[in-house]
Amino acid sequence: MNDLLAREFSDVWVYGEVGKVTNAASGHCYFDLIEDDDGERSVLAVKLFRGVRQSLATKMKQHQIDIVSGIKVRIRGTPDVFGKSSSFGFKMNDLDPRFTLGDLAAKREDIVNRLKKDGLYDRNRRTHLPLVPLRIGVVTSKGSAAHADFMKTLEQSGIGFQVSLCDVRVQGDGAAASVAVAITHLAMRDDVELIAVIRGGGSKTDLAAFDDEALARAVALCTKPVFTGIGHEVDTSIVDEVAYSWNKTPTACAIAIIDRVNDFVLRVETAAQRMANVVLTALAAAERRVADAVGQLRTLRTTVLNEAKARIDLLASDLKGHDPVVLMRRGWSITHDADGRVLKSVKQAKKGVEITTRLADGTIGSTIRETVS
Amino acid sequence: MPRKNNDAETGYEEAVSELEEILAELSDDDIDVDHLAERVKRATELVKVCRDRIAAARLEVKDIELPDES
Repeated sequence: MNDLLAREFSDVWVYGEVGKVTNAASGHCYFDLIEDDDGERSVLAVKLFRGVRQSLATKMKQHQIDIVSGIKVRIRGTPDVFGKSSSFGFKMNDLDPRFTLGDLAAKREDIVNRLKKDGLYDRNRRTHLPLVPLRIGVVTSKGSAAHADFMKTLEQSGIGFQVSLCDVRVQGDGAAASVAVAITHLAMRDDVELIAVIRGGGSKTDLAAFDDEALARAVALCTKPVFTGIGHEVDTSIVDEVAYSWNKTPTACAIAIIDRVNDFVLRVETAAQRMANVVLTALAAAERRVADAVGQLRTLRTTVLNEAKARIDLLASDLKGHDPVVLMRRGWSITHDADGRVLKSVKQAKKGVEITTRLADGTIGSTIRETVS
Repeated sequence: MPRKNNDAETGYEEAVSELEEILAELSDDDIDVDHLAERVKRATELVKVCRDRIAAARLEVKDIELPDES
């Protein structure tokens, strides 16, 4: 029978969705390949033996594919009948990674489009991120390397973060639902300002939980900002796409939170420094003005008085020019008639009239003999 | 300008103004010679008032210690 199958159906390609997966201690892997054709369900029992698995390991690792439940695969192999019960199965010997990746990409695009249509794609990014987020809700697998890296980075920052942990499954069946419940729970807590969803690296299929639509919706609808640190270097998951901030690793996620706090501290310090500078500049300017004023005062107190003195000296010398005593000493005199009127013109003088002439040191009485004009 | 009874009460500016007024009077050709001596006497007093004020201010200012400019 097997010879016939091998002859007629060797190296056939079949495709379908991976159902239940069993990884045996021997290193062999058994899984169901399911085809659901309008409710008509066909199941093919696939055997991936250790040797083939090892030979495919490089290719699968390169494309970050694991045989996990829910992914679509296109595999090559030979049908066979096995054991006493003659159960029909399929021995897998190759896998077409482009089929799986194409399917994952198409699924993702559909989900992203639906989220955008429902107005959820940017919803979490519109939540309020505190200036100083210190109370962090962490969704991860307790005790994992991701958890340890995240906590270590937070502690090394020296900032007093307060961390509330929600221990969840981050891969396998129920992982997406478990993470979604944890996010919703933390969002309701008053002592959580920011939610970090973290896990370590894994294959693309391993991280399928983070491409789950229900989880992506939970993140989008979360009322607190969600920061991710889901360990994969190349692509982002849908959860990353809808998160407030996505980071490649748990460590990078912790650093993003620390940076947010440090940014604020830096802003405050810069503002304080700027304020101090403004005050110091104003004080320096005030001091300069006072010093200038003192300098001016020093000069002015003498110049003002000197100018006043010069003004008085000038007035005094002017006065001297008008002092009749001074003029008389030089030989000028003033003549009055008998009535005491000053004679300013010869027309006032009449022959025979007595007049008095005042000189610097006394007066002379005389009689007008004649006038000449 | 009304004359103060006591020149000690006359302000410097007031004294200078009066002095300048008198000098303007003296420069006028119509000055009454009889008042001339009296005006000159008053002007001389005012010159003394002004000079005394300046000298007093100089002493006073000199006594004030100015702060350093730095």
